[in-house]
Amino acid sequence: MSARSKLRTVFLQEPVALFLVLLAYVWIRIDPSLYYSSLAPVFLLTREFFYEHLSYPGGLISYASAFLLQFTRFSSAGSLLVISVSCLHYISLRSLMSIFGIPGNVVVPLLGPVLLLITAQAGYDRPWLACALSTGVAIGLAATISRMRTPKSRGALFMISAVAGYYVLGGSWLLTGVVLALFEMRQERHTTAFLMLLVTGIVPWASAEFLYTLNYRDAYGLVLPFGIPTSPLALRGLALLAPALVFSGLIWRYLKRWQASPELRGSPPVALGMLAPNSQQTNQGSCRSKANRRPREQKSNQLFLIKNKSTLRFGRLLSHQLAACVLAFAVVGIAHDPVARATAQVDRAADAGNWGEVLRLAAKLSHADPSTMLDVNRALCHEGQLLDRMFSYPQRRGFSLWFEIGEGVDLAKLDKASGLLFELGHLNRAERMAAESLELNGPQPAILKRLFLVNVAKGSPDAAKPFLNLLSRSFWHGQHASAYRRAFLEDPLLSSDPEISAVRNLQSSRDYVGMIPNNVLMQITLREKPDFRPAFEYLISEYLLHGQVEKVAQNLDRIDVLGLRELPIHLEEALLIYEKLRPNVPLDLRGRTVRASTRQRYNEFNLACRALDPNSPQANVELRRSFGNTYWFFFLFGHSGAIEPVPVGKSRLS
Amino acid sequence: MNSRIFKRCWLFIVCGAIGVTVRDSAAGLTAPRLWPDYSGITIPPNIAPLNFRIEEPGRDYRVRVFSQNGPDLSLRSADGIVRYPLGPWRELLKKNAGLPLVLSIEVLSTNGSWRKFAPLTNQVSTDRIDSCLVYRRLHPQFTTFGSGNIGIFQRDLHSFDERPVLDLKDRTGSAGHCVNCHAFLNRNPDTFALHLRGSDGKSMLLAEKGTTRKLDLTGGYMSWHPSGKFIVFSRNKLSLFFHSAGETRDVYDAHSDLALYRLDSNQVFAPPAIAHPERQENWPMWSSDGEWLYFASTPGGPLEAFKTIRYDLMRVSYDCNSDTWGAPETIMSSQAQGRSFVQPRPSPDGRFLLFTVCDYGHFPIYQPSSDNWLMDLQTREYRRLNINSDDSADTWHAWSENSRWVVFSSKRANPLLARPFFTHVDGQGNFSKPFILPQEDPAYYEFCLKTFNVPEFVQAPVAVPHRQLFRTALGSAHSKPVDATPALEQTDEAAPRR
Repeated sequence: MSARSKLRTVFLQEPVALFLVLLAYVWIRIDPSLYYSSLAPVFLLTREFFYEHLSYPGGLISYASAFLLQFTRFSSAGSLLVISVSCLHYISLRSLMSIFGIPGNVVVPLLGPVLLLITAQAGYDRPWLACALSTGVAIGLAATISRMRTPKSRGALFMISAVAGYYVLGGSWLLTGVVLALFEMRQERHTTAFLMLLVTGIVPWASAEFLYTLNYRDAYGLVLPFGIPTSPLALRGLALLAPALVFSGLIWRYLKRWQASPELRGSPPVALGMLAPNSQQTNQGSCRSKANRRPREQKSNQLFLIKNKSTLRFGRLLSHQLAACVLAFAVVGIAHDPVARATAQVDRAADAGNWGEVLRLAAKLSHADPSTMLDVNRALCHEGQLLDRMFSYPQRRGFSLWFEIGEGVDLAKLDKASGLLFELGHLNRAERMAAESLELNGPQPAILKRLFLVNVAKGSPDAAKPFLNLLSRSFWHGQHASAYRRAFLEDPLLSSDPEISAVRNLQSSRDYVGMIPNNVLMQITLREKPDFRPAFEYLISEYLLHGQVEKVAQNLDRIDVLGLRELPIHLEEALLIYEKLRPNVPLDLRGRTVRASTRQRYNEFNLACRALDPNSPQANVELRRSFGNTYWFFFLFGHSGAIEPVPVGKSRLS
Repeated sequence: MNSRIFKRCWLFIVCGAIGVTVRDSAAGLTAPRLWPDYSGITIPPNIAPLNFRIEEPGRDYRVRVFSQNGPDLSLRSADGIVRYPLGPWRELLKKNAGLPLVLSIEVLSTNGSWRKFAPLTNQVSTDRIDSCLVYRRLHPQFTTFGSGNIGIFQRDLHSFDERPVLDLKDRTGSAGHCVNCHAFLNRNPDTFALHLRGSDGKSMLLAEKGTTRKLDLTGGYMSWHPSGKFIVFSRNKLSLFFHSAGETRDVYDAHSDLALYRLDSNQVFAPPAIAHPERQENWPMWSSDGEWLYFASTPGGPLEAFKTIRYDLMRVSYDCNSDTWGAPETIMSSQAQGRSFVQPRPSPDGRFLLFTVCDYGHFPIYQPSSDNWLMDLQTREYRRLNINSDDSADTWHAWSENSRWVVFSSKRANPLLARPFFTHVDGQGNFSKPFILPQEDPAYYEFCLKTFNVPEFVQAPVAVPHRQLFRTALGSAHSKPVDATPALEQTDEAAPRR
């Protein structure tokens, strides 16, 4: 067969085109570079990092996935990675199906890639690669061993893989063991199958006993998605897919026998009758045992037949491909979560300090987690719009900036709090948040950089140095660290660095101790730097988010120092509420007035409220349309109009 | 062979019996910069190789070590990193105990000429150092602890071998464990206690002659009575708090007392001599003869007045035979000195008392003002050690078995991360220039993001297998209830954890 015909056969028999289309889909629609920004995967070019991964089963596959995840920094390389792992699952499953004689052509093995892509787009901050990679390799390993002709060679390879495979793949190796045991069962070597199952069960237990630093749960569950609360359902399905298919193959085989047996043959139940196998398909895919092998002549006749009927076959395969393609696309497309993607995009833009982009992307959100709200408010502050437009974006009552570890704080995103505190000049708090993140999330490059900068800004270059050194061993950050190192060697305090100079100017020399609430923290900044507008904006926004309009009124004297000619819109809106709540208390607006347009709108809002029952869901919907971006709406309903009045989790992009 | 690789890896050793006379005059030569600074120090005759990096620009580096009894070592390095081979290094120290070692360093500059530096001299002591150092290694800790990030490790001081005594990892889960405050009986690796904190609560882990058990008992700072019959420990109500300027972290102790845990009866006692109702006792430490218990004591105060809380250094006599306590006696008064005196450590020979002095409170590692002081217990004269760093914390000190070496944690090399330093003490209480715990890779500390605290000398590697300690630590089945007097019901340490 010529290379061209071989290529044509591969194209006809395998869904190569589908994978190419999926590659484009992953690249454009999923955008794997979002994994890099959301997960901030750690990979250090140090011996210690490697040795750490050698110390437990599954460590090598975790190391490999940590390495591969670095390539998700680029969408193109990340797409290739995702599709490669998908292909691995497809090939492994297809191979397994062929061995077990399970019908299903290309459609069934495509379940693997489909589940993987569903996982890949379910959330960008979930580490799924190690599991997907290890399960794919485990199934591939099972398929390879199953292809061994003699039971002895299979047994020997099984025993080798029981040690080496488990060490490399961790808990995923259990899939290899179970599949191989089922294969032996299929070959009617029940004792071997039982022994294999026994070994499969014992190896992790023995490993936990021998290594002892592994607990039993870890020994069985490492690298598998089970037991990890955040692992998506699709990933669990991916892990279970191969054993489930193989098991169904066995059932299939028993059904076939049952049908073939004259004593047992009768009228099977309707459901089983529907599952009755097509003998031709089964023969094509069955194991190459001597009994099942066709005579040479019959084979050549069949080839001749296929050659003559190539046009017919081409059409059939094409229709199969198309059906598989449409099905796979439909499932993957339906499972696409645009909110997860938009959230990850906001996250990435915020990390890059691209505040305009953050606001552009966040405008599409109808729901936001606390981390995204933090990003959005920070972006609004950078753009000088926090007190004018914050309620045009998702906000919830009681949301607090993460200046202290507590309820609502996402421990995986502590670098955000650290970054915000750093730019506000609260270096010790920024250091604390970054150090907590280092402890919980490992030496992520952003955290290493922050701790370096914090210590330099604090005037401790010796304390800063190890963070810079380790940053230089991060996969993509060597050059970045080198640039810092050059500047650092010239001036260990980086006096000419504008970022460092800015935060040094903001830093308070007075020592405050204890748990300081957010508003007090901002008041401390304003006490020393009364004209520092971001502190004022965060202070007022904190009051607004907690519904403390009287506190807003009490801080009006700060406006003069800030040199604001006009009151920010949300501040005006809050003052109108205050006026209504405290009609007898005069407000000193320092020579300013609430704009007539704001008063006019407030009157319209009150009229609209009177016309509706504020407690009815209809009121929320009606008022949201015209007043969703006002503080009045937020004050009334406890969330901004940007948040759709639907239960959390069902929200979609507006 | 690739010549570049060969050049980089090239390290030759010439061992010979050349009689040492340093002929090169040091006049006019500058001293080379080394990291770590292993110059002008006194070193134990059984310490691991003091590998270093020459911090002088150059293309090639030559180092020669001369000694009176040989063998001389010649080393060459392309990158300035000097690693002594273990065998010749040991031989060098063994043959030259009590004698000086002279380092001659030459650097090939970019213009192709060899630059010679002033020779450096280190003194090899005849006093051997204990064979192991046990320390806790952790990230600069705040309020959370991740899985397996905190561990107690033992380092063979004769080589670079480091092994965990106890580090608890939970790989799939997120539950972290904190292990802290290990205390050995007379520097004996068989018998020790340490404190555990984790998602399953707090407990004390006890290892005695090969057996381990977990006690339902929270002990802060501990000290074994030399008889091994009981442990005196502090019961603290600690909380971490934060500063907005300077050092970020600080520790406040709302209440503390000392208590005594008897191993034979499995009971806790609180004798009034060490648990005065109007005082807060802390940092207990027995003298090596077991006749004196040294501790720190304060009337206490609220968190708002944390800077005024200062501890006196006290001691109380104890008669082991009759189980009677004497009257507590103040040996350093915080009121008189205006400082806080904590962490008393009498030397095993009973001659000296080493303690830490800080501005306030009981937790000196977070105060740059912390220094180690020495009291001659014969004359009661005391002084600040001249080996203290000027503006970094020096604390967590421990004596070697022969009272000739002291190890302490110091932040002199890094204001955030403490490192273990050694210093030699002669019979008159003179301390030599401290040197950092040597590592195989001289750049180790430049990449290490963990801090070393509670360094303790041990005479041999910890005998209890890691496996056994690990299982006892994590197994609730081994936990043994302790009969604690109701008056000393435990209070929780206020440190939120993940």
